[in-house]
Amino acid sequence: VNEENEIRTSASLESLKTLRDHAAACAATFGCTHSRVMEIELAVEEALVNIFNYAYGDGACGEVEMTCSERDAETLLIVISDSGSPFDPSAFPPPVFAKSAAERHVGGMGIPILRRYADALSYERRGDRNVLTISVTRKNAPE
Amino acid sequence: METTREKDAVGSKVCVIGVVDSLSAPELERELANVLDEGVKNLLIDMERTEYLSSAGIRTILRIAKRLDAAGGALRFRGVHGVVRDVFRVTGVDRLFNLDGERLQ
Repeated sequence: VNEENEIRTSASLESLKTLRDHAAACAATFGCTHSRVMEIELAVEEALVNIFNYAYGDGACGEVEMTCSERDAETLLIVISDSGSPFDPSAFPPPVFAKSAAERHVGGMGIPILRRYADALSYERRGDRNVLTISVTRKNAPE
Repeated sequence: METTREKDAVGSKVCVIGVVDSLSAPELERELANVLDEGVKNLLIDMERTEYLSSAGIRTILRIAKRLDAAGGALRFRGVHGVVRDVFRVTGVDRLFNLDGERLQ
């Protein structure tokens, strides 16, 4: 994983593939298996989609930045930042599941998926920016 | 993502091939909604060849399930495996459906 791998794109759905592919390439270079790469892509997609939908309010344009770096031999850090409204996904309460599809809310499933596949999640508000660090190892999420 | 469809006397089977993410989920939703528009009450979604499914796909499944439920129909799955099965479990969706519904009936 090289040092100069920061990418900056518009915070919109059309950037999803570019950003997710970037994270996937970093994870593959780091030595993750195909199934672990997909888990990491899921975590990254859910973090990004949340930013695309909520960070900048209706119709407003904004940017998102992503960098991948090796923290140590075991851990890859994927840092995603934006300058939208403060939002800490690591503080989001766990979902409550209704027993039937009719009673189920259709939303709110992104953050549980993000949490599931990140080994650690840390959030910081730095000035006017949200900085989310997704730490991942090569190990698949436990059974 | 691609879908293929089979129909018999009791219902329809839709095979979902490839990646269901925030970009492709709306297309899947349109295709499944078209099947329901024809009055199909028995829907089997085959995920043998579904490689990836994010929360956008879960949302699509739940919306289609609600519609079928309201119409007195049933939604079942087959071939849900790997990371897709794990996503079903993490989002509690595995408890709502028969995930091993091999036959259309």
